[in-house]
Amino acid sequence: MATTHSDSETLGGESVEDFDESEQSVEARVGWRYTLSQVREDPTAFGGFLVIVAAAVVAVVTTIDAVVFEFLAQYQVFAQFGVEKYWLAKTVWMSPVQESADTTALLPPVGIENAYGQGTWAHPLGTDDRGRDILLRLIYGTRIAIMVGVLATAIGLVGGMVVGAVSGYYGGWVDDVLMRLAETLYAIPFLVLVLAFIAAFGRSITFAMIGVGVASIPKFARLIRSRVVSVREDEYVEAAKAAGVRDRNIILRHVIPNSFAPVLVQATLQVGTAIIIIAGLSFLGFGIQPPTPSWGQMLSVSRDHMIADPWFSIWPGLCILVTVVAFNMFGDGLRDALDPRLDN
Amino acid sequence: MSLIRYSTRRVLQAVPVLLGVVAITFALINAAPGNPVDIMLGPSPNQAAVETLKAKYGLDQPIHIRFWKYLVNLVQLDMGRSIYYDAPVTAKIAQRLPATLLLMGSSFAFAIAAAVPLGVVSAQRRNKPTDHLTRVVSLVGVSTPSFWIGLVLILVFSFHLGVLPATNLVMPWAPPSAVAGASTRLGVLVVAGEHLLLPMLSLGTLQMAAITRIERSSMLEVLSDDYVRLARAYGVKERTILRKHAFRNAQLPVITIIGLQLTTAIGGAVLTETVFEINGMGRLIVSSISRQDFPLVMGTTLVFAFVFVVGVILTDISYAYVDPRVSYGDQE
Repeated sequence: MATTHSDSETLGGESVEDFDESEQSVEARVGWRYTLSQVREDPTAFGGFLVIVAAAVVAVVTTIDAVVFEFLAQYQVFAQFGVEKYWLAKTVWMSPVQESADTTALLPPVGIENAYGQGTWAHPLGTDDRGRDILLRLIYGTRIAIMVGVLATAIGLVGGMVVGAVSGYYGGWVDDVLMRLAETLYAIPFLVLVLAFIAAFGRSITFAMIGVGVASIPKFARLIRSRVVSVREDEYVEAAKAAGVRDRNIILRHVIPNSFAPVLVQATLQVGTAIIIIAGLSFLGFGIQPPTPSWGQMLSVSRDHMIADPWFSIWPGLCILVTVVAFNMFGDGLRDALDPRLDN
Repeated sequence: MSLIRYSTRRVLQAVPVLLGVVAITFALINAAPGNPVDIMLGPSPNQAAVETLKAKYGLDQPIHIRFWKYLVNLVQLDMGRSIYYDAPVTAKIAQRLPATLLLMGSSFAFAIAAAVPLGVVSAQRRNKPTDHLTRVVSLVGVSTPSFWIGLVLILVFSFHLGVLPATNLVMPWAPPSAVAGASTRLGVLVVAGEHLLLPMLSLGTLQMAAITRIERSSMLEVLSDDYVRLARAYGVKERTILRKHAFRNAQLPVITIIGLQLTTAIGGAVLTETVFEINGMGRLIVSSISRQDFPLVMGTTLVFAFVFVVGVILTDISYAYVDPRVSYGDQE
């Protein structure tokens, strides 16, 4: 197939070009370029990638609007320009969290033609039970989903990397202790572990996020350990050892980069899982607290308004679905690109 | 014989894991900032009342002694008393566990029954419309939160069409006199089935999608193996190859996934029970967290972990049973 051909071409070209820069990064970078070119040729994976990028852009813009503007509003200079929290949202629409009398006034009385839930030009997806624009709240919910999903995964990834690398590289009793611990954490069902974590430390999105991150450490640790164990025996690691490179540097510079490919796939898929779990926690009331908009919490509120406004329970779920599908499509594409053995 | 020995070994291996689970949960719960007695007595409690309550729940002793006592009691199936219900934790759990097991069991049955044929057909007709459809369905299935599927099902079947009930799960073993709309055993089963259908679909879709994906890729891998190609070269019919040669060998990864899916299924059950207002373990853990009823949180967590560990052991044993290559750890 054409893939094998482009493989050798990319490998040859890149390694000659970058050879004198730094030896240890060459192999990893070649892998990266090659992988990305593979992903671009896969329409499903690329579609997923585009959706992720779009969601990330939305998340960044809304974060600026909600967090950065609030911060800037403290300073007189910026206040002159009318900068305040949700300035952007208020200019285009009404604030996603505002619950004052004027927004309630916008809520048309139930029974007339545009009862809540029905779209008008001003509110394409209608307004919720408190007269807040649903579309705007969905857009601002993206911020929480992406941010919390990525951060939770990052916690799991970094924690898992440390535990897995140390465990796999040193072996012996360190390995035994760490892996028994991982096994034990693994034996508690994921959501239940997160719930126990929240029960202990309190219900807030921060603890929910840390809980999801910590609960995913065993998964990453086991994956990384298994990679490290196989990399450890490779000749270049032995060469580095013989040359007197310190253990920490061998792990950081050789072992981790060469074990990273499957970990990246797992991390991409894990972001999707984390988004679902955190939406579930918000749905149960343990995640994001109102009035900050999040998809899970919107679904939880919509349960009480299902008869009045059926579409209110549809939209947030669709948002979760689209985002998670995107992460899964991209993750699957990455896996296919990194594993030439499977071609589907 | 060796299978029995393997099973025993597997069960014994689980003991330290479960012990570790108890230790971790105990540590987590005791790391909690508020102490249950303060919560019960409010802001400015009477000192004598505090002492009595602390003694009642054993909180006046150092943590390692409490842990030891908890273990000793646990072995005797005593998990302490629930603060909110003022009843033994085990009694509460025994009351709630059947609904959860019924929900999970039925959703797994649905998932396996739907996923195995879907995966096989999809692999057999690779890159044909059936395959594409199955892949899209399974991708969407693994990406959808189970509680949202539940909400949509309620919207469509309970509110819009009005054909299936959304709440009040009925146990199939309930006496007919206790069930509205049923006068016979069969009637109870029908009513229970109606009530179970939506929660089962809501929880089972994720499992179904995940198993379908593994079944498909596993079948594809086996179908490209040398012995299958040899069988084709000999002119063996495709149906026979599928049924006699490929299917059995493709089931091993599927069995593993079924065991591991239990962890997501338990998480899904917590949410599904909330959506359908089923009084199972899931709602129990959620409400006891809200009430800061720590003995109950601890008990439910342990039972969930126990269910998961038992499930994984069962899949391991069935794996060993199906795959003759698995060494039972005897000598070689």
